[in-house]
Amino acid sequence: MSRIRTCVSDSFFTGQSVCEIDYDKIRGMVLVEHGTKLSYSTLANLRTACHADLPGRAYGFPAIINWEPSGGEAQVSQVGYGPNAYNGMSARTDAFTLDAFRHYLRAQILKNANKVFDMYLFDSKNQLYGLNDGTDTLAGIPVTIYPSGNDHAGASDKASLVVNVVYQDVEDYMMRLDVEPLDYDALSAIYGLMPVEVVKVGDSGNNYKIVEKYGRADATAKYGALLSGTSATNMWDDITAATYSAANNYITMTMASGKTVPILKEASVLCTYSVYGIEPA
Amino acid sequence: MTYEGVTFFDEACKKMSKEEFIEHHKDAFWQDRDEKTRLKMLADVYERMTGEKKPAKAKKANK
Repeated sequence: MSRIRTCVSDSFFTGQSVCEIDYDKIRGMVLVEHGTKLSYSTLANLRTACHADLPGRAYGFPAIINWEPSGGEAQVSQVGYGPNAYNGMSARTDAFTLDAFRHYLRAQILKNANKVFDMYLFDSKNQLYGLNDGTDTLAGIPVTIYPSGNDHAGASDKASLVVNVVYQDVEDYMMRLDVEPLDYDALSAIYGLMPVEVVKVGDSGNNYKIVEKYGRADATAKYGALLSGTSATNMWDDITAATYSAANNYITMTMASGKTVPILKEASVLCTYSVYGIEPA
Repeated sequence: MTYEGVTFFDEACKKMSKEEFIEHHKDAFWQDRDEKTRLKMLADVYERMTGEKKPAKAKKANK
């Protein structure tokens, strides 16, 4: 048979769904390593993904309070005295404003500015946005990120942090965008992790505090009881006993023989015992 | 096991002798109680962990 060429655009569907999608405001964003997929079939799956060991972790961002697209517009040009013709999409960058300015998060975004991630978005109605790759699970949208915003409050604006998302192929995004409704409160399952250090109180004794690595905030009151309760035996290495004193806001821990430092287990383990949002620094 | 608000890591604790266990923990926990009481509590913890002391049986209901 002689060589033939099949037209790729031989179909054109203009119908409507019996149940139209109500596209709502974007409230959540999760990035995964490029080429990997987010596990989101249940709330527990999504939360576990946000606490998974590297490199399989999903990086959840704080609440998004505004979305502002830029670019992604049709480029139309005329050649000679012919008609205008579509000539591709302009590059697109979306600006997602987070609920608060956080200098440490901006530093982390900047640190990863040259890395390609796959992005998933969640709207107010718990609808998940990703790419249809022909499977039952949505793929992420390939993007790079960089930060912007204001360090300090001004006369009319508060300090703010914006995550700018650069689409790697906006035409591909438009062709393959898909939406999946989730039957759970997805926003409550999205976590970004804060590294924490276990810091001894004073030079001697057995009392410790949980301190955030960035900003040095004392997180003992939030996590102390959880990290020393009945499940504590699964959360630490190298200790023999633990208790939390709410009055003093510290955890008392005794070291195992030959050990000098309590070792907090990784986020994937802590998550199993309902300790969310932290990992050992 | 958790005893009076303190969670003991059974595996690590059972590697110690009873005397070592008591000595290791007596100045760390229950500092609001006198030493004699603390020693008694720690001995009780160790015996429960190692099975030296069996849990008290529930009293039979009066017939």
